[in-house]
Parts: sequence; C-alpha cells; structure tokens
Amino acid sequence: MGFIQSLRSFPERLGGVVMDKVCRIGEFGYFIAQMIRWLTTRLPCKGTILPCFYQIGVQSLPVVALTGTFIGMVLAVQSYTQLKSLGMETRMGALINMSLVRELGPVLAATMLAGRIGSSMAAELGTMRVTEQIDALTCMGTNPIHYLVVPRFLGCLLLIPILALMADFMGIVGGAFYSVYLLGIDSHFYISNSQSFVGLYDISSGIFKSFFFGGAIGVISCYRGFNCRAGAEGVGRAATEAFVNSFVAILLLDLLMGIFLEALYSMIWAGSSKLF
Amino acid sequence: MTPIISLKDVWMIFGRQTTLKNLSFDVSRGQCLAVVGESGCGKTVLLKLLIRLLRPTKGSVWFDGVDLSTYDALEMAAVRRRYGFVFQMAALFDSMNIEQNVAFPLVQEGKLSFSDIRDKVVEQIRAVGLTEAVLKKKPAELSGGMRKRVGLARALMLDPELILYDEPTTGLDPIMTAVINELISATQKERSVTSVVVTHDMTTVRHCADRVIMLFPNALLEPDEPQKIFDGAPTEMEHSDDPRVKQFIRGEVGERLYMNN
Repeated sequence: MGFIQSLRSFPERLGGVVMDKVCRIGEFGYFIAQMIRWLTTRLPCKGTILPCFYQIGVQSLPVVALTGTFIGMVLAVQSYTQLKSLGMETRMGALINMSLVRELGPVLAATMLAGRIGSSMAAELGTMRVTEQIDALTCMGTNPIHYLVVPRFLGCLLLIPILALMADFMGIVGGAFYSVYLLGIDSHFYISNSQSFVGLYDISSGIFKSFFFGGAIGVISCYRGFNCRAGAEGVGRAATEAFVNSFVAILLLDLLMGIFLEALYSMIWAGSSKLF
Repeated sequence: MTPIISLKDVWMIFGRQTTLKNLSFDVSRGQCLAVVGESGCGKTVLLKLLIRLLRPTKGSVWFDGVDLSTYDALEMAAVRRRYGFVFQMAALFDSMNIEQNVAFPLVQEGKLSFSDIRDKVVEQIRAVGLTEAVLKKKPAELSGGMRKRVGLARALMLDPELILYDEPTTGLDPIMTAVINELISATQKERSVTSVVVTHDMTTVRHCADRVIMLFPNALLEPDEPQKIFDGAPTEMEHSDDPRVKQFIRGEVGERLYMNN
C-alpha cells in the first residue's frame, strides 16, 4: 500500500522539485537583472565602494601572491624531469610561463578568491539576512541590492583580473627562481625561450577570462548570501554553496572562454589549428 | 478622515500553510494599536505586510489611502521613509558604530550636512535615554535594552508618520521592559505618530495601546472562524468572555502543552 502510494505521489514530488528549480533560476535571473539595472542607473557612493574594494583587493594580495609563487615553482618541479629526458630543459620557461598566464594563474587565483572572498561575502550577507539587517535597510528606503551587492560585484569584476595578473607575475618569478637558481637552467635560454613563446595575446586572454571569473564569483556569492536560510546552519550552507557554485562556474567559464579564445586566435592568425 | 493603514481581506499563504486568513482592519492616525497573539499566529508577518517587506497572497494593504501594491520599487522606497521600524533584535548594522547606525537614514537621504546629522543623532540618542558615550561603540558592545533604544532612535530619525514595533520588549528584564514601554508611550504622545506594536506582553498592551487586536493561530481555528478573535480597547480585553482571550491574558497552559502548534 505504501509503495503504491509513493508511486502515485512520485509525479507530484517530481513536479515540485522541477517547479522549485525553475523558480530558483527565475529568482537568480531577477537578481542579476536588478543588479544590472542599478549598475547602469546609479552607482553607490565612494564611501560604500572603497571598503569593499579594500577587502577584496588589498586584503587578498598576500594569499594571491603566495598562490602564484608556489604554482610557478611546482610547475618547474613537475616539468624539469620530463623535459630533461628529452634534452629540452631550456624550454622550461616557455612551458611554465605559457601555462601560467593562459590557464593556471587566472583559474587558481579565481579559485583561491572564490574561497576567500566569495565565502566571506556570502556569510556576511547571510548573517545580515538572518539578523534582519537587510530588512532594516529596505525599511529605511535603501535598496539592499544597490547598497550591498553592486559594490561587491564591482570589486570582484574589476579587482580579480588585477589579482590574476599579480598571480601570473609571482608565478613567473617563482618558476624562474626555482629553475635558474635551484635547478641550474641557463637564465639566458630560460628568458629568451619565454619571450619567443609567450605573447601579449596569451597574457590578455588570461586576464580576459578573469573578468568573467570575477563577475561570476561576485554575483553567485551575493545571491547565495542574499537568499540565505535561517539560522547558523543557513549561513554556513550559504558560504559553502557560494564557494562550490563559484568553483563550478569558474571551470565552466574556463572551458567556454578557452574554446572561444582559441577560435578567435585561429580567426585572427590564420593557419593555426581550429577546435571547431 | 482616511485611516493611515487599511488591510482589506488579506490572506498570507506560505506553501500549504495559511498564516493569515481573510484579515481586515483599519488603523486611524495617532492611534497606538497593539497586535497580540501566541507565537506562530502571524503577528510579524502582518507587520512585514504593512511595509511591503512581504506581499499578501490575496487582498490589499493600503497606506494613507493608496494601495501599496500600486507603487513601483522607487516609489515604495520613498513611502518607506514615512515609516519607522523597530526590529525584535534591533537589526543594527554590525559593521558600523552606533553613531553611523543612527545617522544612516539621514546619510542615505542626503539632504542634511554632516554636522546637522551629527546634532540630530545626539538629540535622538538623548531622547531615548542614552548618552553620547555610546556613539563610538559597536552594537555588539551594548546590552539588549540599549540596542533596542538605539533601534528606536534610528527609526525616529526621519520623523516617521507610522512606527512599527516588532516585539519591542521580548528578552528584556522587567525594568528595561518598563523603560521601553515608557519610551513607546512618550514617542506616541510627543510626536503624534501612529504606532503598531506587535507583542505578546500584556504589560506593553496595558501601558501603551489605545486599541488591541488579538489573532489566533489559523491551524487551531475551525474553517469558518475568523482569525481576529478580539478587537477593542485593552480594558475591554481584560473582561472578554472568550476563553481563548482569557487563557492568553492569564498565561494558562490549558490543553496546549502537548500540541505541535
């Protein structure tokens, strides 16, 4: 009897889940639309924006620099044995720097920042939601999206590419230091190979991707915090979901941007291989 | 004279749970209305409907003769500046000190200079019985009673026409409860505002209210029973024949001890 009843109620439960997902997508779309409307009509004042920029940009510098440095050094460790067996260890600079500026620097910096900034923003906004501070803002005639979300989104959008550039630079320094001083690669060949293989397009494409990563971290984290469920558990879940969803978005955007940028490269510089 | 607040056949349904059922009443200007009822009867939901933090599932809420649902977001923001809202846990901004918290509505409005705002903050802080010593403190450094007073000071900054209080005395000791009740009464008299006080504290009702409405949890009602089980003066409530009203005033457990609602 119980089994038959559960079979009968299955379509209803499935419909409920689908409706819930559709509603959430609609809510997320509405949230983004509201944010864009405020971005294009009236920006928050300097006093609201600057603290967010300080928290996102300045306070993230040490962790991004550290991440970049270690990525560069780890790449040197991993690639040395392989390239040495082929007698191409002087090409290490090209390999390390190309990997860093096109892929690893922006992606790992964004991942690190999704953990540091995204979770923190979601927890902060979630706590404000749970303690009715967001309702208090609304009651005083202040739009919480304009006051809370727009500055954080702008901070992520504009500062994460700069932080990714910082991660690239520190990675290049770290890789060069490990290769030249610890592995004994000739610095002349290391630098000349790097220069001949890594171009401005490679650096620009990494930074271009970072704008999308930054925007995704900002909007996802703020949305999660804004729609936080009640209690300490709700805040914790919002922080975790902000990181996980941002991370998935970073990977997905990285793939899509990678395909797009390769196609663009092939279109501009004809003769190169095409992915589609 | 147009009532400042009108609820017309308001229903509030969350999923399968009906929280407010066909509720209608008016609030006249200058009146202090207390809304009482046991936990879960929809008092806070009602308060949020009055300032359109929530929208009714059915029915309409009117402020100063205009249906709130007709306003767009910007117009509603302007209307909300005519309200003051004192939250249950004060809802002060953690990242700001008390001065910044109290000044916030005027800073956002952007009409006054910083020195004028500062003077008004000091004036309001004194009006709620606090000293300037608290201005540089963070909300976490204040007691519950002090936070509620700061919350009231912030709500008064824009000289509202209507003040909504969400359980203003919950969690306070009897002396601080008396202080807050006195502040609500003094604000009501000195500023000629309209107040809606959501509470389950009968001391607050007796001390502050001109009129009291008692709601009953919808889940415990018969299908045709109205949710508003009392509407009248506080003295009339004391002499009500309704056993549910009597039980609430006396704080008797009755048959509720093992009920889920």
